Amino acid sequence: MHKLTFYPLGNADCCLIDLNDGQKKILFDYADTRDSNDDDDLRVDLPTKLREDLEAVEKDSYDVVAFTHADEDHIKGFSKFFYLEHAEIYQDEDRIEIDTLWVPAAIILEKSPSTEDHRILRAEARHRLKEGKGIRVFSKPDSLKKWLEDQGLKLEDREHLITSAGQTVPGYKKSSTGVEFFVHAPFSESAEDEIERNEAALVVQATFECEGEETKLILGADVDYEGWEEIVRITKSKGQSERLEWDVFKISHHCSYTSLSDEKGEEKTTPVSNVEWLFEQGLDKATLVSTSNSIPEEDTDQPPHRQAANYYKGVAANVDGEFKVTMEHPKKSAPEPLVITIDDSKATVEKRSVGTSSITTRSAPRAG
Amino acid sequence: MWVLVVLPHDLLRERGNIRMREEFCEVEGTAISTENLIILKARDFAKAVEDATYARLVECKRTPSSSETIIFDVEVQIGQKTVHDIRRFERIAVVFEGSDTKMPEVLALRCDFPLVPHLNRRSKEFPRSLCVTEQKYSEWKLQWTGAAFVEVIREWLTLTAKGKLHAEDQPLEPLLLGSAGELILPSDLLTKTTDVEFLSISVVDSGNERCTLIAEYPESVNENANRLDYVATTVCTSPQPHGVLRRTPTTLFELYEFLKSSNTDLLNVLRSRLRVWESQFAKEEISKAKLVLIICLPKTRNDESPPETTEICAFLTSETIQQVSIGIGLSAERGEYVVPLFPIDHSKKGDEVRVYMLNPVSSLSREHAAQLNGLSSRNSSQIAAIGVGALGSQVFINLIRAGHGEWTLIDDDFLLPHNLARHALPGIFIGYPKSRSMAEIANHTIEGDSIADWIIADILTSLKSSETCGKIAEALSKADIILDASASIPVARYLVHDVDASARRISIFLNPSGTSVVILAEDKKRSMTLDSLEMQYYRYLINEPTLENHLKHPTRIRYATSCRDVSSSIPQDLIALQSAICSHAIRQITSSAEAFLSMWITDTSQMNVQRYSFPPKKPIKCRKSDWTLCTDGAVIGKIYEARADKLPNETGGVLVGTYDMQRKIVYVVDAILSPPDSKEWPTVYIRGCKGLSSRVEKINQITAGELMYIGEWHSHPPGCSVSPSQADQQVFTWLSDFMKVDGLPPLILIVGDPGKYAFYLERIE
Repeated sequence: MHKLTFYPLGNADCCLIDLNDGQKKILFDYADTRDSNDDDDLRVDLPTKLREDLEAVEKDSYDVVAFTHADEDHIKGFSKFFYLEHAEIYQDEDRIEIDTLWVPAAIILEKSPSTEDHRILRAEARHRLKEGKGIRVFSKPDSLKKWLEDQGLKLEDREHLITSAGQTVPGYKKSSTGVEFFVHAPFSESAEDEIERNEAALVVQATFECEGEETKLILGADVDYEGWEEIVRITKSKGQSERLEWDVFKISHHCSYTSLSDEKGEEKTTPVSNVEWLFEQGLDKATLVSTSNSIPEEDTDQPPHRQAANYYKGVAANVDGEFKVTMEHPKKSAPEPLVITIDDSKATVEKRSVGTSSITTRSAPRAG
Repeated sequence: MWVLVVLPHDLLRERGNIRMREEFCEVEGTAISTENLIILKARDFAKAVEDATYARLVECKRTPSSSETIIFDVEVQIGQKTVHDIRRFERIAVVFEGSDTKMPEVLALRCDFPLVPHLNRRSKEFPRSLCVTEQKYSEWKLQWTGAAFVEVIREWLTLTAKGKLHAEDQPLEPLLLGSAGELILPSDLLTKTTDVEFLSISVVDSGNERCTLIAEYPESVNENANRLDYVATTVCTSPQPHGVLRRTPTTLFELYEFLKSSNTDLLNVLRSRLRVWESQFAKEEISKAKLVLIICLPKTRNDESPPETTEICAFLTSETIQQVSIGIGLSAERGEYVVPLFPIDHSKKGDEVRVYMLNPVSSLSREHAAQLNGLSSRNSSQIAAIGVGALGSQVFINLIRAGHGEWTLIDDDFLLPHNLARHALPGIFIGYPKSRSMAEIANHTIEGDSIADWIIADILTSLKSSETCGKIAEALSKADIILDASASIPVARYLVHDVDASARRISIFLNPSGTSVVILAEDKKRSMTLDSLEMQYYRYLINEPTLENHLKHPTRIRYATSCRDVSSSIPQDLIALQSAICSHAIRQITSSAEAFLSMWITDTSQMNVQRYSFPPKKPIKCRKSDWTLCTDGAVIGKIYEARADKLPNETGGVLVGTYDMQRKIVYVVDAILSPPDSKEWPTVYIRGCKGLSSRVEKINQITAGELMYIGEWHSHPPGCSVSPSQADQQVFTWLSDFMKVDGLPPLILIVGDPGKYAFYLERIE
């Protein structure tokens, strides 16, 4: 059995993929958004949850940690949690190791990181690429070749660490590891000079296999509608539309209308035609996951947008599926990590009632 | 009354998942608020539903009969792919009775809720009633909470959706649906493809106005079972993909209607059977009997495939056969007489004959017994058991309950009151032979052909050429396993040497205090025989200090009687414990071809059991004049090691073992190494005697007199032959003078270079 866990972090992403009952653990994005000084903050204490999860299977590392792009809501606080190889100050004993770091080339090529975490991530990725191990870089723009040459390295010597859009990630096979990753983005040109990070983000379709059943997950990073249009156009033109089928879709950009269209719409966002096509590729009883705050009842500037949510709800209803919001699951007043198991029933959204059995898995509230 | 009504599924809309409207069965009663619920459990449950994350209260109702129903929607954890069409949202009603004596009934209200396993049958097909737990309500009540009940219902729906709800045959919950009683059927009825036209039925009063019907084939019925109160007939329908009763028929006509869909004309079948019975039986005998109908419904996966399972259902008619006969137009009342009708009145279709559903239960077959013991397959070895005393009887009954083996029990003893303290037999068998009584118990436990046969005889004393002796020989020769539970060394030796049978011999016996049990088992090829294993067992006793008291009698040491002579004061709980170990071990032993030598020792203060397991050694046998000498590699090995230690000097010591004078066998079991006062030179060895006699005495004591001094051994230097030197011959003569006194043969072992050794027994050549 495989398992997906989406953590309630507000408008931020962290998706843990457990392969074969936790034999391999892959993390997509890490954003420790919770304000530990605010007792009313309903967002999950991500580092604690992840540590507990690792301890349960006696691990202290992830097989892969992928950062889809370097925005705050996808990397916040990572430098406090992970063991980083490029500098000793990130190497205290209880840090979690990363066997292989996945980053889009844009993270390495970024000239002016916007945050400290971004700068540290760039340094770590650059270090690993120079060392030639523990890293996979997505897309191969000319500027990457140039950067390598500036470091006195040849592209040919690092070629095996680079995967481009349209390829599957080496080392992962449905038959053996239980999953295959097909890379949709970034395209090589998106990492060029003027970097628009959302566009240069890593977008994959993961196809899981369990007891002969395939289940497809699309991790949509923060891609906007133009990015999706491009992905759909290219995938269709290559005759690979099955690469955009999905059983579970991690909605882009925290349920922002900008991932559907440039128009928000009155009650419901109407996506541009290629994006509409993408959301027609949902398989029977598929699930859409919005990694976001609760859907507001009124109009807002920031995502999530209720109009976009209305569109996604309709998509879910059409396939008799579900639209889940991380900060609303199982209820708005007490969000819990959203767990989706993948087995011969395909994807199942776990709906456990939290009872006394879970008391011993958490610390007790402060007693008076 | 349940009627269809369309209700909006507002929960679905609220969650933003807009779907077609679903149709629900309406629930009887008037709507009340939760505050007005009277039944405590109903209140508790309604509160739990309101608090639950994955449930939503719809309404509460009360019926004129004062039951209260909680109607709610649950959200079910289901995957994209389901085996049964369970939806993410299901509307459920739970009906609480004020009396709180039975499980609240759980109803799935969706009008098209699928036909799935673990539904309770009720008189109407819809709404379907979920059998949510196998636990008895009286037990469950102790832990019942509303929240837990919500979860049980959700769990049932989740597992049913996956097709993973435990699918083992389970009797219907009789409390819910008023089954008229249990009907015990011969286990092979399921595999019969043709009808069994006549079965007789005996009735057992099960207390509290319940009865159990036991159906038997006529040939197995006691001739003297006089009256026929009930008779049964089976009707097999043609195989079809669906053969499940969706609701309980209440009349013969409804049953007939149901079976029509399986291409079976029940009325015609019954008419012809009853006609035949009328001619077969004395009229008064059969006409007053009540009729039980056993319907076999073979089920296939699809139209072409062969039947995979057969569902059996059974019905008891309320009327006598005579009334049934009238009800289906076979005969008619004429005044005070009932006369056959010719032609048959086909307008009579049994709509006045009421039928009650019985709960069919299969008798315990060998296979089912094995299954219920958690065994994946049944062992059908032929086992001849010698001795069914305290240990033997309990080991036997343990194995029988697992359907293990096909048995012949051989024992001459009969049951006396003092046996009851430890024997498997109950007091009703006092005075009866143990072997036959145990076989009877087994044959009443396991249904079908007798699983146990018996011979009332003592294997040692039954006269050759007698009929009994022939029977014993036959039982032993066809056996795969001869199980010796006689607690007698002579029997074990007899089985090895004097029985012509290829069966593996297994001996089980207790030590005198009953605190440990020993199992000696030959390998399948019989290269390691029981007598040799017995000797190896003694060797372990004398070489393992913790086993020194193993054969010690609890009150006194008795050399005179056999060491396996079970004391008469062993507690039954120890016998039960050792029996359990034996039966479990026997199951393991019979699944492997290896020889086996183990003992289990119980520490009776802490009740810990420790196992001692010894790798059996292959025996070495040689003929010496009219004697057979029997030893094994361990003895020779020990001596070689001592020789190598002392080279270039010679060394020696004494041999311990035992004799079977009757069969002229010497068992060389162990060697005592050179006493410290011995003289060891390169070409001469003079055995000393310091500590020797106390060691030999100790050995004799540990083995309860079995092992003793039997001879001498010494080594020869490298390159020398193992023929006796002049000096050796003198030693031999010296030795025979001593041994002669006890009527025993002198024995000398000479070892030379590795692989070269020679025994000299009785005389030296």
